[in-house]
Amino acid sequence: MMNKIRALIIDDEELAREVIRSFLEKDDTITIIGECANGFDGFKEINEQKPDLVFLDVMMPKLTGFEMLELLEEPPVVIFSTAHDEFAIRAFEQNAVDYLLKPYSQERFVDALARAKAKLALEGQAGKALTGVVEQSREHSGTLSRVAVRTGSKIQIVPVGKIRYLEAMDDYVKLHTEQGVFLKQDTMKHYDEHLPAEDFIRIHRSYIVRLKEIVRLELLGKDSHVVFLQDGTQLSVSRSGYALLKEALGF
Amino acid sequence: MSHPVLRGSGNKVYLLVWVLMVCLHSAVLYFYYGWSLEISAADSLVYNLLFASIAPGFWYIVTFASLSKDDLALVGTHLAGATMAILLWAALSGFGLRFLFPDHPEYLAFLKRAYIWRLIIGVMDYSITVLVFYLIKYYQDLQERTHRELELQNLLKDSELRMLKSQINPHFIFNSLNSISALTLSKPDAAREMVIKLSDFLRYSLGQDSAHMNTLAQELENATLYMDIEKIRFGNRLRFEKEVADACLGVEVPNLILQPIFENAVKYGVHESINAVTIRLKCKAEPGMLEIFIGNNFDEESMPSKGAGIGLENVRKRLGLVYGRKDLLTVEQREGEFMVKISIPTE
Repeated sequence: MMNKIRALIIDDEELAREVIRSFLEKDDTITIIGECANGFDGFKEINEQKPDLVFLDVMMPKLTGFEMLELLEEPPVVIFSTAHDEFAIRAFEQNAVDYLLKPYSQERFVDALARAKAKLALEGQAGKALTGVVEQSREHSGTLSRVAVRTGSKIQIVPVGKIRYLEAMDDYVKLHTEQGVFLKQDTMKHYDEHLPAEDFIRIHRSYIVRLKEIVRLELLGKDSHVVFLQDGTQLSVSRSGYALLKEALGF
Repeated sequence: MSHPVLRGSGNKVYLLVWVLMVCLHSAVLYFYYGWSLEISAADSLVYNLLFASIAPGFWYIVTFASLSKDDLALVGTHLAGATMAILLWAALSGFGLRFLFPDHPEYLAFLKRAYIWRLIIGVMDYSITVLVFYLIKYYQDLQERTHRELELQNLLKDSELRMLKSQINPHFIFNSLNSISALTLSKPDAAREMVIKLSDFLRYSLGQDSAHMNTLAQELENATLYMDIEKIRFGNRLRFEKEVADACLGVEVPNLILQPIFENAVKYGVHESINAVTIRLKCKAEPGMLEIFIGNNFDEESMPSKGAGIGLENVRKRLGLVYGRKDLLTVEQREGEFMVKISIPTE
């Protein structure tokens, strides 16, 4: 006999969880291993219990569904369940198997379940090859206003206003913030495109700096420059970065 | 543009001025030059009344001249108009008086001698009349322009008010429907109650015209419906307390003015917090002013993921448009408490 699919429900509204629960109870191939009312708990539960399938709301206190997904190293199969239709594209970009718009019918729900099962069956054959796919293109997510980061098992939310500069580190981006330094699995390209363009500038392939942090710019050699930040940090400036700086600061 | 003499109240003043001119003119002829009363009166009447009947026509010269773009055309129009009018007037008057007094050689000689002076007086009369017409025209233009500007401003205000009026958040409706969907399974009675509440809320919120005012009692009833629905959604995460003085209930307030503030409290208080949030409403009647306080506690560590304060800014703008004051909405934030105060002038 096949193992039951272990499902986790994450939604901040009790009644919304109740809908999913009642629909799931009619399917005996699935067992509900827990329910969470916010992103923090959801993150913890997923890491501890490793569910196969997660029903995820987007707008929740503290941590949105998307922010929670970004923090996971091994994201499970996800079905979004939300009243907001504007996140659908982003959800599919993050490899959601389906996107349920509240309120939805049992037929629609069963449909989503079927897709999830198909995907789980496929993964069972091929082994879990999903790691990292979350970090795919997210072109539609608009301007960032905060970033969720993780230190050990602790999650912290860093408002974009507190980011001083970013540094590329292989597959990671090192965020230097007023709250400390954090590593996040992400690309410089993502930040270059989604940080507010009027505040941040990409001075180098490996550096994105908040304009207000820059105190002075010095010529280092022929064609090479370096900027000094408020705390004395020195960062090198590439030729294209110098052109961007020139334009932004108007010198 | 209405004629200042032929239409409107200007004709009485116009008539009075010319009666005065007739008296003055005949007095000069009678006392200074020593003509007989008959001749003085006839001379004065013919010259002045004839001019008085031509002069209203100058209005059309003025309006026509102000259509032309360059100064040369303007001067040309007036020169042509004045020459024709004055020559016609002087010739007709002279002819009429010669006809009236054919056997009076002394007076006929005087008429001939005075002819050049008549022309000069004609030019002066023309200039003065035209000048007055220009002033009147300027005044009329100004009035019309201010009137039009006022109308435009009203129109703008109207559409602005319509825009600023709170629009029902569709996610609120869909989330409520989802809650109803859940309740139909476990608690059908509660589901029916929620459907009724949601219907009442929508009927009130959708059926309102933006310029209208409602009593505070009606507004609070609607706000209570909204909070009831949100309480079903969020369960014990949301509490609502109200303290309303009876004297406030009859006061008229702009419709749905409180709705964005309650929505704001739910959005930034309840949505962003794991702990229970209490929304407190307090209404006080001060002399000449109704004061409404809407406060909520919030999680200080949470950071709104989207730009805050558009709803409140709209309420501020709307109050400014309705009451012409910008100080009617104040926001206070301290120690995890967010408080919005609205003042509604009651006089």
